[in-house]
Parts: sequence; structure tokens; C-alpha cells
Amino acid sequence: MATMPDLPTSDVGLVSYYNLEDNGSLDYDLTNILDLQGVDSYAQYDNGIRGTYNISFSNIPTRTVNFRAKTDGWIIVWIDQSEQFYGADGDRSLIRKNLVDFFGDWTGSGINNLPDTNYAQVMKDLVNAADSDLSFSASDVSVYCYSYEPATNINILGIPQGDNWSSYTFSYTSGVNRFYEAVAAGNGLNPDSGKGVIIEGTYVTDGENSVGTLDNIAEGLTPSSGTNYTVSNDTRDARFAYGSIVGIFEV
Amino acid sequence: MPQGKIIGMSSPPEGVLAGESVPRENELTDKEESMIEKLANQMIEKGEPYTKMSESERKQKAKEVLQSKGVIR
Repeated sequence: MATMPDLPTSDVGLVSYYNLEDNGSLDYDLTNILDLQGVDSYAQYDNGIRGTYNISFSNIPTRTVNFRAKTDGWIIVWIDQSEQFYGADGDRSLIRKNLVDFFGDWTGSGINNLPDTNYAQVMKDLVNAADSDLSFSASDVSVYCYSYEPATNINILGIPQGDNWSSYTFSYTSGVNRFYEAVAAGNGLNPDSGKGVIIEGTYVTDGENSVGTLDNIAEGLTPSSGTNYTVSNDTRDARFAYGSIVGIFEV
Repeated sequence: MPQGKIIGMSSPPEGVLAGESVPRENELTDKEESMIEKLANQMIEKGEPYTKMSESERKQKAKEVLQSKGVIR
């Protein structure tokens, strides 16, 4: 075997990172990670493991995220900078992948709950496998975005799943420098539904059991600071519809 | 009312992207990281070639400069 190669920042989009030793692990075995069902592929090195891990939810096609675990205690979970996650514009019935995959908020189930994010769930699996005695907390996981290095924050906004909502508005102030802003929406099993979720008059979903994304900046949907923009839905039972805003920005 | 979460971001320590395992005691301290960031920001004011570099490249350059002068480890 060989030592793991460096990970070029040009390959990394969003990365979450956690150190076993910093969080109190006294003894860990990285090879236990290979027994996890979510591991899709892997390569072993002298000083760790690199692989891909499955994430999926409901009718969202299975995705994989990358992970790496090293003998210095660092475990990282990341998605690359390819279009498959950043290409939110295009045919919205086909382009379903979005940065929201990293956060798992296609349905809003974790909109206000950090431990329910996909990256935290994957990290938890990896950490618990490496050291079952360690008490994992999602708040100990850090995040960084190499795609937009000046960015300071990621914001995810939406109505929690199950609420019967009709619309909400959002805005941003003049001091916010947006690098990425997309709407990610789903419309569940709901035969009486319309097309589903709408942002500023543009449909994001395309009827029953569909998901979609739009790049708000590229589509010119939310051009001005200080303006209220509306996300709404035309479904009869809006508990089955969901639309979140994902923003990466500098303040 | 919509709900949500804001996730703050911070640049990862060396061991996160390094291929080799980096003992934690060998990683840069917060103070050293701060010095690197300050120098990297000063590089921008100097213009090219620094302005053509990515932030991580500038930080790497700043780190090399500070290490060569013995300011940081």
C-alpha cells in the first residue's frame, strides 16, 4: 500500500471535517468503516481509507459523497465541484442533483436540525464505526466550501415538512455577497396536486412525485437586495410539497 | 414563517486535505493560522501574481514565506 495522496482543493466543493482525537477518542479502528452498508467503494492506504458513501431519501435518486479517514484522526466527507451538484439550472425534471443533497433538506425534515443533515449523518456513521465508544455530536463537525472560498456562511431556509403552507418570502440585505443561491423543491405523492412548488412565478417541480432545482442567481429570479421573494405551491394538500432555499454567501 | 439553519464556515487545518497523517501537535496553532491569513490578505494589495492565485494558494505562499523566515514552524 501507499500513503494517501493530498486532496487538491480544486477537487473539493463542500467539505465537512471532524477529528476523532480532538473529540476524545482514545482508540479507533478505521477498518471498521469498511463494514458499513453505506460504503459504495473504497481504497485502502497505509494511513487510512478513501471511499464513496451512499446517501438517499425517498424518490431522490441515490447519490454518493466522498469520504476519507486517516490515522491522524481526521475524517472528512465531501462533494466535488462537478456540475452534478452545482448544476442547478437546466431541465428541472432531470437535473435533480444539488448542493442540498449535502444537507438532506429535499423534504425539509431537517430544516432546523443540524444532526439530520446528510453530511452529519454520514459522518456519524463513520465516526461510530471507527470508535463505538465515542459520543458523536453534529455540532462538532465543521464545514468549509472550496468552491467559494471567501464565503463565510451557508443558509438553508424553508417550511418544515408536514406543515400545510401556501407561501413564504425571503430576502437578503445589501451587505450580503451571494456566491450561490438555489431553490430545491419536492412534490410528493399527491394526486390532486398542481405542478407543485413555484418561485417568483416559475415552477420548480413538475407535478406529482417530482423534485427539481433552479439556480436563482443564474435564472435572475432574485436579483435585488432588500426585496421580498416568494416561494409558494399550488398543491391541494401542501404537506406533500416542499421548497427550500440554499444560499452560500459572504457577510 | 420559514425556518432554517445557518452554518458558519472556517478554513480547515492542514491535516484535513494533507495525504500524510499529520500529528495534531505538529499542526499550526490558531495564532500561526491568523498570521498566515493576515499575510495572505496583504498579498492581495500587492496585485499580481497574488491576485491571480486562489485564496488557498495565497495562504500556502504566505505559509512558505513565514516558515522560511522562521516566524512560524
